[in-house]
Amino acid sequence: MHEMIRMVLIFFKAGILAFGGGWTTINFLKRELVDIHHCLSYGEFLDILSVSQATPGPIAVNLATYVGNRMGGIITALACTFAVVASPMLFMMIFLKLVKKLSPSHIAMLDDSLHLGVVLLVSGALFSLLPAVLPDWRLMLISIVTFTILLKTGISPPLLILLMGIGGIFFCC
Amino acid sequence: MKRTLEIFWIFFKVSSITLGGGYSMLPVFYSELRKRNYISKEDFLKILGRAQALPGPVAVNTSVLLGIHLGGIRYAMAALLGVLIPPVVAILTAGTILLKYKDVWFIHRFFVGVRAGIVGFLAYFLYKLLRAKSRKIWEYILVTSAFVLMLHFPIIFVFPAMIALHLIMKGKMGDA
Repeated sequence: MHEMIRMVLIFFKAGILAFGGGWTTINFLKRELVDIHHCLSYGEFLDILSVSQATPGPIAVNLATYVGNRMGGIITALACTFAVVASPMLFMMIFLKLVKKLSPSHIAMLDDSLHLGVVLLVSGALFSLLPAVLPDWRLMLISIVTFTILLKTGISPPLLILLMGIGGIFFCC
Repeated sequence: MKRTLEIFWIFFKVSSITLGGGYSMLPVFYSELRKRNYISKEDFLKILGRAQALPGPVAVNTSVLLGIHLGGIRYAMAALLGVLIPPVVAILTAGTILLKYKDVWFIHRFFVGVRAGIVGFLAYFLYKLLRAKSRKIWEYILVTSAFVLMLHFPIIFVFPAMIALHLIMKGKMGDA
C-alpha cells in the first residue's frame, strides 16, 4: 500500500509536466524511478520507452501502466495510469474556469512562456537519454540518420523509430 | 446513450490503431470527427491549441476537450476511457510479453535500435521547437540557466519557477 501511494504520487506529479506527447516527463521520471527510488534500472527504463513506441498510447500513460504493473500488479497499474491523467484533468478544470477571465493577450503570453518551458523539458528528456547512445558510434549514427530523415522527409516519427529498430537488428550488437 | 457509446468507440478505435503516442492521433481524431460532421475545422484547431498549452498528454487533453465540446462531461469521460483503455491493455499484455523476451538477441537489438531512434527524434523535436519561435538572448540565457539548475534541483520546481520568471520579465518589458 505504501509503495502504491508512492508510485501514484510520482505519476501524479509527472502528469503536470506532461506537455505534448509526454516526452517532457522523461527527465523527471528517469530521475524519480531510476536515480532516487531505484524502482527500475536505466536499461529497463530504456526498454519500456522502446516498448511504448511499439504499442499505442501516450508515452506517459504507457510508463505509468508498465511501472505500476511491475511494482505492484494490475491495481497499482490502474492507479498510476489514473494518477497521470488526473493531475492534468484538475488543471484543465481550473484553466477552463480561468480562461474566461484572462484576456487573449494574456493567454498568448502564457502560451509563449509554456513554449519555452517545453524547450526546457525536451532538452531534459534528450539529456537523460543521451547516455544510452553515447558510448556506441553505431547508435550515434542511427540517431543522426533518424534526425536527418525527419528533417528532410515528412515520414511519421513513430514509424521511422520502429524502422530504426529493424535497422538495429542488423546493425547493432 | 447511443451517442456516448459512439464517441467512446471513435476514440477507442483511433487510440488502438495509432502507434507512437499523442501527436500521431490528432489528425486521425480530426478526420473521424469531420467525417461525421461533429466539429468544424476552426473549433478543432482551437481545441488543439488549448490541449497543447495545458499540462497532460496531448491525446488525453484533446479527447477530453473534444468530449466537452461535443456535449459535456459524459462525452468527455467516454472519450477519455476510449483513449486510455487500448494503451493500458497493450502495455499489460504485449508490453509484458515483449519485455519478457527482451534478452532474445534480435528483440534486444530491436530495442537498442529504437532507443537510438528515440534520441534522434527528440533532437528533431527540440530543433523544431527552437525553430518555431525566434527568441531573444535573455530567453536563451534563462532556459540555459534553468537547464543547469535542473541537473541539481527537482524539475518539478525549476519548471514552474522558470515559467513564472519568464512571464514576469516579459511583463516588465511590455512586449506581450
